[in-house]
Amino acid sequence: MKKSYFQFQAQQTQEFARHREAEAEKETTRVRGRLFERVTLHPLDYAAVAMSLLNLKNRCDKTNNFPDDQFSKLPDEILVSIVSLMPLKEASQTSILSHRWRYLRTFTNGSLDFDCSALLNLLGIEKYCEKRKGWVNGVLRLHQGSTIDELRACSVVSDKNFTLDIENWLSFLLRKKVKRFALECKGLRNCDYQQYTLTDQFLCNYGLDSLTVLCLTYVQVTEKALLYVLSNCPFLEVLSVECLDSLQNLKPSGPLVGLRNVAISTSYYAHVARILLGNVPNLVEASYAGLYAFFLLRERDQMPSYLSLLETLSLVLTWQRISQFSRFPILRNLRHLNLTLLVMDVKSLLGCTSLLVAFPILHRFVVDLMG
Amino acid sequence: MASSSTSVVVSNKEKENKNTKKVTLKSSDGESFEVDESVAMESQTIKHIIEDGCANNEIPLPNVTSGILSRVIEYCKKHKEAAGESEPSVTSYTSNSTTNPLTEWDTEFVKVDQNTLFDLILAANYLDIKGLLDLTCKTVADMMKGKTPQEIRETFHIKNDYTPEEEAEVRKENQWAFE
Repeated sequence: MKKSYFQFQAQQTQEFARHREAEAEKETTRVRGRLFERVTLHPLDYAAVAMSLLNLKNRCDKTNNFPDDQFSKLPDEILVSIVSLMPLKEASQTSILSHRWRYLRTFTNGSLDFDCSALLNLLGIEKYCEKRKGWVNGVLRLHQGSTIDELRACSVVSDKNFTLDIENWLSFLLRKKVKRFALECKGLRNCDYQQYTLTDQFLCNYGLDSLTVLCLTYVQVTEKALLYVLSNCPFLEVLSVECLDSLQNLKPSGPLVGLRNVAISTSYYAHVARILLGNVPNLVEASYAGLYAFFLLRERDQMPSYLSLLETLSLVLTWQRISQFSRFPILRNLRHLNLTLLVMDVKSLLGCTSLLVAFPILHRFVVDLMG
Repeated sequence: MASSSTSVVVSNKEKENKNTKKVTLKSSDGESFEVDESVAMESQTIKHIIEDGCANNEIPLPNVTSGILSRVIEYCKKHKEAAGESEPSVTSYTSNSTTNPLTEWDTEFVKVDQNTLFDLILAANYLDIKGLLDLTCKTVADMMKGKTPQEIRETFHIKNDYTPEEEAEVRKENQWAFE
């Protein structure tokens, strides 16, 4: 006789219930001698419990995922977009969620942000270098997307394989058409470390036409390398090279049409000659520090024409230098001025009032005092 | 159905005075929604259908239910209005933020249950509405941030189908992320 599924179920339940009843009897008999009495469930209650257990088991067995897995509705590309919106560490943790998620994050095109400062505070210097290398190399090696938009790495301190590491990362990134690259190498103070030097021999092996933002701090860049970047990145919008040891001369040959934001600084007493950027029609933001800033202000009558278009200017100077000026070059478009003054002992900021005269439409003036 | 004079909607005040071209969108469960053509064109998919000249009667959207479609239309309307009123904002690299006057409205818009949120993602993907897709994906990413993998599994009902050996392998592969 063919039984329907439900009848079969019911029969199972009844058998189960009978079995439980028998067991319950045995149990009761056994404990009868004790002071308390064990309450036995009515067989139908057992049946109810059994039925719900059976149902649950069947529901789980039907599909490989729980029926409510929200992500099963979405195609892989959307999951990749979601993962690329998460911070790097958490995005990599998603690989443990299930088989489907294992390699999704390696397809992200977005930005990779390696903030090493937290790591540096926790570990000693040798362990830090090892970890940092493992981290960046691990992420880059598994990367499968065709392009990378951005890579930022800060507090990267050198060890003996430093140069090789950085060159490996750079060549990987340039092949993947990176758009924005920011590298900050400062780690520890008073640490005897060798700085990485970016040379044009290295750069000329790669096409730089995807680069729009390049920010290097405490990375030495030769003049030829800078010139190479300026001539071969037609879409470069932001160039920031800070804390150079020296910069003799910078004179690019052609106009720098895309450049909107430039920041060049040297360590304070480094020798610097001239920076003649030439024709930069779209420059809106500039940042200068050290002696170069001083020279710039001093030659107010021979200021480069592109500076007159500036809307935002940031300067880092000592108080003595600033107070030597009675007149500043006039910048008619300047709206924001950020002044960082290295002061030992300043009595008043009245010397800054002549700045306000030179910048007629100044809207926001920020002064930072560093002692 | 199409009116004889067509004009682009310039601002809210002029809407009542001019005739605007409308299109009808039909959801998977048979409900029809009449919207301004300019609002409907926020969806690249619909834009292509209209431009190819295939939108004579209604545009059927078999992948979108009426509940979701009405929400999508609400989003498109709101963003179309806002785009018409404000100037494009200039963003500076250093400030790293774009001024979006609708941030608050958007935040309220995505305060929905999970099912609806995921259906909105699917609809935005199918209809190719970049702003809505970015908004909904960002919402899910924010829901996942700050949670351990086990918590993420519980929130979204993801089944862990790794064997213990596989799981150990994955942890090793990404060991820096799990420290």
